[in-house]
Amino acid sequence: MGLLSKLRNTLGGGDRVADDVQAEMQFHLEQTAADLMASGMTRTEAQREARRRFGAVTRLQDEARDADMIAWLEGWLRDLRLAARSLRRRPGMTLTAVASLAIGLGATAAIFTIVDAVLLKPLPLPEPDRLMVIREFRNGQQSGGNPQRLKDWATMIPAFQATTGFYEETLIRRGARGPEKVNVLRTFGQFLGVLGVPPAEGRPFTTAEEMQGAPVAVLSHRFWSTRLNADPAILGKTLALNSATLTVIGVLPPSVQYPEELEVITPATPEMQKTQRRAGFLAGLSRLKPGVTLAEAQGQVSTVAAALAAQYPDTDKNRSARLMPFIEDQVEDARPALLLLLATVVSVLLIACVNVSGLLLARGAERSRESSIRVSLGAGRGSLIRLQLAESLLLALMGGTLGITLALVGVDALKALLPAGTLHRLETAAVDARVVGFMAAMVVLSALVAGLAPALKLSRVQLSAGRVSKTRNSRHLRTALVVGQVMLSTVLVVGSALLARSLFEMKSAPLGFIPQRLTIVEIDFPWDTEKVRLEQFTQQALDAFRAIPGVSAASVTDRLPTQGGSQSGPILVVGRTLTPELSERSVSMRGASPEYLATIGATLKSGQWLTPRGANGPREAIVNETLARLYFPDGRVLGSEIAFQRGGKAVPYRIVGIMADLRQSLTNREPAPEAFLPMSDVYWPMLRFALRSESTSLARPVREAVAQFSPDTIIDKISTMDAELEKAASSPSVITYLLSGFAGVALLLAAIGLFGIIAGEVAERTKEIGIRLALGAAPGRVQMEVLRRGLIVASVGLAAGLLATLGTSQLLESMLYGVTSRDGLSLVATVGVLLVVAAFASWIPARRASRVDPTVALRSE
Amino acid sequence: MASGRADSLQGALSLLVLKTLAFGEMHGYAITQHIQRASQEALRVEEGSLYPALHRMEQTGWIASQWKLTETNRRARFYSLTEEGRRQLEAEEQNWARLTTAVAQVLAWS
Repeated sequence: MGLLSKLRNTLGGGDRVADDVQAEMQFHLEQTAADLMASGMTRTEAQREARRRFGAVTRLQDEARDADMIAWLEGWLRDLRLAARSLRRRPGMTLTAVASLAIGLGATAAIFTIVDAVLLKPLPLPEPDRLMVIREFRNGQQSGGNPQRLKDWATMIPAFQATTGFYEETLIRRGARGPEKVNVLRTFGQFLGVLGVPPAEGRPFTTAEEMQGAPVAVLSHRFWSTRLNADPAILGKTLALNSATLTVIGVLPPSVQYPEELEVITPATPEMQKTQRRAGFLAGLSRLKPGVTLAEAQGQVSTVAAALAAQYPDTDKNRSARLMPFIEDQVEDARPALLLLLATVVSVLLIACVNVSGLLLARGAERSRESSIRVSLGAGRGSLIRLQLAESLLLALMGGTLGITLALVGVDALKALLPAGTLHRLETAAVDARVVGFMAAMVVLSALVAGLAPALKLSRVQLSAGRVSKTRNSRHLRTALVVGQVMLSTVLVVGSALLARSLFEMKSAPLGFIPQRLTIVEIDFPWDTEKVRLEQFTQQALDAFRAIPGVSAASVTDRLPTQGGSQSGPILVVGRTLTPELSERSVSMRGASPEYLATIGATLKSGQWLTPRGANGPREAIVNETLARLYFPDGRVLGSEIAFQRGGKAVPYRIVGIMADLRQSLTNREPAPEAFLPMSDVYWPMLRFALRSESTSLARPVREAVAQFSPDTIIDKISTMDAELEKAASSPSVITYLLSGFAGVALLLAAIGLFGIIAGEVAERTKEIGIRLALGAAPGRVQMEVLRRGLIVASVGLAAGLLATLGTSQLLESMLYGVTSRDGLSLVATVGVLLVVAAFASWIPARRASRVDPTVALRSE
Repeated sequence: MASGRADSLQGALSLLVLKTLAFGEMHGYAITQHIQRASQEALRVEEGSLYPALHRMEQTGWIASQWKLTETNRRARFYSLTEEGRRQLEAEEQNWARLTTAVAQVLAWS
């Protein structure tokens, strides 16, 4: 037969052979089509499909086939089935890989959920991109807006469609259940017009109402539904707040809850509308006309600001204003920390992917045999890679599914952990379709990252079809991957070490007072409360508090330490001209009862504390060390006089004492000049009482004491200073803990990766090690050799990581307190931790190497 | 030698075809179906490799072919094992067993 057919071929019977082949192929096609029809396809479909499947005779056809979507999907499905079977055969590897990916994907999903809710989701307002916050600056320092200037802007800036300014105020409503506080937004200009949302019920303010400050109100949906029991006949009813009576004309839709505490919106009173140009107390907001860019609008704002400065040199000189997209303004403080967390979890995910990559590569030898068989059966390089990717896709899918479950738990935990009120819209965070979509993308991406190296490796194996031993090549690749892992985790460990150091510095830096056993009581009176009434209340409260058993001292101030600055402004030094810089600089002015500083345990450096002042006694002040140092370089502080601008004239105070700085804020290290005046010289209706006592559970006696003499007064807060400090530190603490946790996970994954290659190498070298041990090599020496190899790999990664940190740590700078991003201790600690972990990860295989039994090792010869 | 091993591996297809035909006469399509089913879908023989291999094996003399009618009265080319092919199958089966044991031993050391 063989000879005959060959003869026929050479004798020009080629047509005959071709016919034969043609007929045979035709038969094959028809059979395939028949089978397909039996499974439900129409004849034409089946024929086309059969032709397609017949496929890969030439590369061209191969590519054409791959272009066909259905076929492509079908190929993937088949590969996924195969991959599933192959994974089931290796439960250990599969479990490790899925767990790694689940941690990486879960953490990424949880953090993304928060980031999406806080930073990315559009606001529930029409065309939120056109909303701009107007930030005003005076001499480069941020300052409040003014009603008259806002009016000018509204009329002079063509880019603004609507402009508003507002301030918030707490008023008291006397309802059926006694007095309660209501958050009121006092507006100037077109507040609702800027938001772009008409009330869901009733009508918006008319222009006349807005301009004249009419006593009308629009309610937030939350206020209407929770405080007014969703009264269906609310429109036209009145609301008595303090001395004012407002007529309700509308209720906002539930989606609009800005500012977050908003309950009642009302145009500012006619007197407030006439506020003189000097005062600055408004937050400004504008809506740009459609199609106007931020740059155009900013250009107009700058031009108008310059024109106003020329027109009103007394009040508008050195002022500037900057427009900022509303959403950015809302998230400005949260953005760096959130992006840092996101970058961290993505790094963890990357390390996890690399780990999976390593696991897949470790099976290289076995795989390459399997691949060779496939190649000999006619599989193309593309299909080999596809099968490999199918496997990593399957792993990523399982990891992703598990990860979403982790994220569901994680998001709730994060929401509970992150301090309430610090992250705008945090409460809306939930694993939703957007998160699932993001996860789907991350799963595919992880599969590609994890499968890339093994797939590339496979395609190379295929070229040398059948050569089983390619371990050396694979080892280099795996080593490179582990170096990358160590590098990434070094960056994360350095980051968390820096944050931990910064947190420690923040907590251990001197406060300037003694927070232990200090109870604070906050009572906010409305801004229109008369000074006499405030003083009368203060005296009664102090007397009542001092009568509480266990209370050794009670005092009052306008703002407690670590709660930020209060009233501030430039000062004068009597008899001396200050440098231009100092004469513009703001000094915090605080009011305090005479015993306040002693009560909180402030440190007097020289001089004396304030003393109760008689009706015509001298005006006295205490200054902090920073003020003394900045304003009195000659050191003659005590007895000198400083003056504060008050209603256009300078009021002088004699300095009687210098105290150590009090921390104004926990997170800001910048020392600020500060002066304490008698509380009687300051108008500030938000009273802050500080009580020194043995016991810290004073809530009940304090409430009872206040109820005794002023039953209508609402106490806003009773807390301890310790608790307040804890709260102030909670945001940086949580971020530090989270970052450290993620860095720990990253380090663990990298350690597993390192362990993997070192163990693999030891296994490969078992025979060699066995021979050397048999020839008398010391086990300790063998052990050291393996250990050294692990440490070298880790050190390369560590060095690369430290180099990378030079760039990345800069990003942390804004979040650090009291340490620089080049902090030596953090770097040394990182090197130490990494080397210890690396040593441990390589020590296990090293020990195994030194215990190789020569006889067992040699038996395989 | 490396090439020897590579041959054995590339010979996998001929081994599979020989083994399949050991069960009796079959046409090309049936061969692909059998290999696919017997391997639980793990191995799919590409037609582009199968027919050239069949023709090569026929020329080498391991198999013979004949046009016949199928049960459904279609004309198809049926392949069957020759005596030489049967010997080749035995040799290749042994080769394969040796190879897989060797590979398995190598793998056992990981």
